[in-house]
Amino acid sequence: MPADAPGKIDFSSFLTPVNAAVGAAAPLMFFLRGRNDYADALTALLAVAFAFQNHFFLVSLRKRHDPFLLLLVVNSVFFYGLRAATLLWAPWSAVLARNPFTAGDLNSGLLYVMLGNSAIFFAALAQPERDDAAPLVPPSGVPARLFVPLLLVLAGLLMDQAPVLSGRLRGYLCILLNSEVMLLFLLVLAVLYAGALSGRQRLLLLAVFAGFVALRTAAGSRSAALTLFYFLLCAWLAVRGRPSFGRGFYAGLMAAIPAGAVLFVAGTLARDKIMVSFPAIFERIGSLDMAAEGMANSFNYGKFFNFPHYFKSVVDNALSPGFTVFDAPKAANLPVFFYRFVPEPTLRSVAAMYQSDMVTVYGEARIIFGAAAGLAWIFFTAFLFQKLYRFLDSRDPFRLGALRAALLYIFLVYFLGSYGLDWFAVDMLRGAVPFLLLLYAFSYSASPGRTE
Amino acid sequence: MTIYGFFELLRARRGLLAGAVAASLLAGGLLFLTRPELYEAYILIEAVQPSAPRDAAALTRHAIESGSLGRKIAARTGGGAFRLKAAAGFYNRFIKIYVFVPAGKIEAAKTALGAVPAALMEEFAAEKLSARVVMPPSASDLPAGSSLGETLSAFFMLGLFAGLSAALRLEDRKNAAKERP
Repeated sequence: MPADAPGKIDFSSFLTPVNAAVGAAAPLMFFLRGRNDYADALTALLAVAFAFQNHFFLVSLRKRHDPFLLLLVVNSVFFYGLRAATLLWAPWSAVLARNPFTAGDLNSGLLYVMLGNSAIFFAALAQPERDDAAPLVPPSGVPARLFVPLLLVLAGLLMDQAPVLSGRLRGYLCILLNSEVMLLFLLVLAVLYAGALSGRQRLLLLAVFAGFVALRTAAGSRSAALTLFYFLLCAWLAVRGRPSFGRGFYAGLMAAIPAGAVLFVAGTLARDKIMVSFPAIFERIGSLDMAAEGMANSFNYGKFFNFPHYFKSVVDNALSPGFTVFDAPKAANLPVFFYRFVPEPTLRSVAAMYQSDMVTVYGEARIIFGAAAGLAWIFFTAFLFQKLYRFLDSRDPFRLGALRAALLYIFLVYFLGSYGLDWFAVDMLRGAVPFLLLLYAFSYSASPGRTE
Repeated sequence: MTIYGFFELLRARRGLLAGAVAASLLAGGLLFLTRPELYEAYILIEAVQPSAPRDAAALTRHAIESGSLGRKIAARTGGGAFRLKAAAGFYNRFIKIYVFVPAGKIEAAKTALGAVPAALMEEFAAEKLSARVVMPPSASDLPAGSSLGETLSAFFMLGLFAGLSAALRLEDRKNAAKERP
């Protein structure tokens, strides 16, 4: 197994058997449970083909490291491949019950995801060879100063979870002290200065990360642990390049899977006061449902996932503070009004009946552009991500790492897990200035002796 | 690997790739031609349990999918036991009970499905579960399953990526052997 240090295992080497196991699970489930309303023998076969595609990407990653491709494989294995298997085991899905949906629709969706992933792969291949896997090096002899960053993160977490203030002021402060952005920066700092951190600093960092998960879960969030893992992966890829960890980390990761399920149940209990079942957990660990549903019913979803609506939504949600022009909610908030036959979706009614649907890049591309042009769109956007990543530069290693990590996170969450381009635009418009302010605040307070 | 490297790999291992894709397509074609034609037989019911309204669907699903109800129905109707499945609606209280069977067994399956509501009420008499038929036993006109085009597309992807993975591994081995002193 390739590794960059003795005793370390490359993350892609760890993913290889996991991907193989997930690929094998689908035919096994089909053998044990047979076909059902949503999945059939072809789904099992496509899941195997999908695993081979992921395997090919993983093998190619050993030849040439690419952080975007690694994130794509992580997303594909756990949220698409695994979902094909779990749908064969338990055909329960709140998403797939909205409209008429057959196993053929799921298979077409999975096939399109494979084509979309090929487009992202070609976008990576189209880049000139450059060693982006070289780790960023912190300024020598300068210890990390975590006091101000930790204080900022704690303020952000308190602002998020404890209603110390109320109303519009709290809303603005939450945008300014974005706890997720700060947590990502803190992880970048932790990875960058990992070798120079004192025992007390490590303990403090661990307490903050655990506190983030605990506070988020208590508030009803069901993906706090996953968010933390994504941040860690993005920070590691951005700072160290090729991620490789010790056996203990992988053991912890495997143990975190059942722990994540427990947190999911706890989060649901805190939010909805109900116990969730396994099929509901499986549905949550799956982007395939929404992607395939969006593709199969693109005519319905196309009524609000389109550029004219995106324009209205961005104007109302980001560019008109305190007043509305079109009264247009974000596209991802609208499907609930259609499948529950609620008339006249407005910004106010969204607050009363909140539901957001992650249509994913595959679903969105197919809905807006159609099958072939959608693939071209996926290729073009992935190509832009690659170019931008290579374009980023700074003499301050923390700043470069933070910018890279943020771009990787945007790729993973806003591109692969798209809630619509308007959602992305609104978040970027709202978050750009606070992001830069926090970036400089962290940069100046954490490493005042940097080489710039 | 760049685009050039990728096409170089395709060129260097074209025999392996063509073989993998051809073998996969052949397997897909054979599977499509030899697979049994299955039709979906189904019934739509509404199950109500006054003491625990949210549990009725789960109770029904468990009884159906564990196979115990299917065996009791088979004993009652005198037909074979079917591997029934249940899908509970998310936006309503309806439960679809279905099974995929060959054309010759559609009528027997419909008879078994028709006996489900009574069997359910008998099974859960203590829970006072009541079941009413929303849609009587029916069967699809067209066989379930994918078309030849869909099947071959899936097998093509399987052959292509299995072949590409193998090609890349062989290249790696070849390069490693070259580097060995």
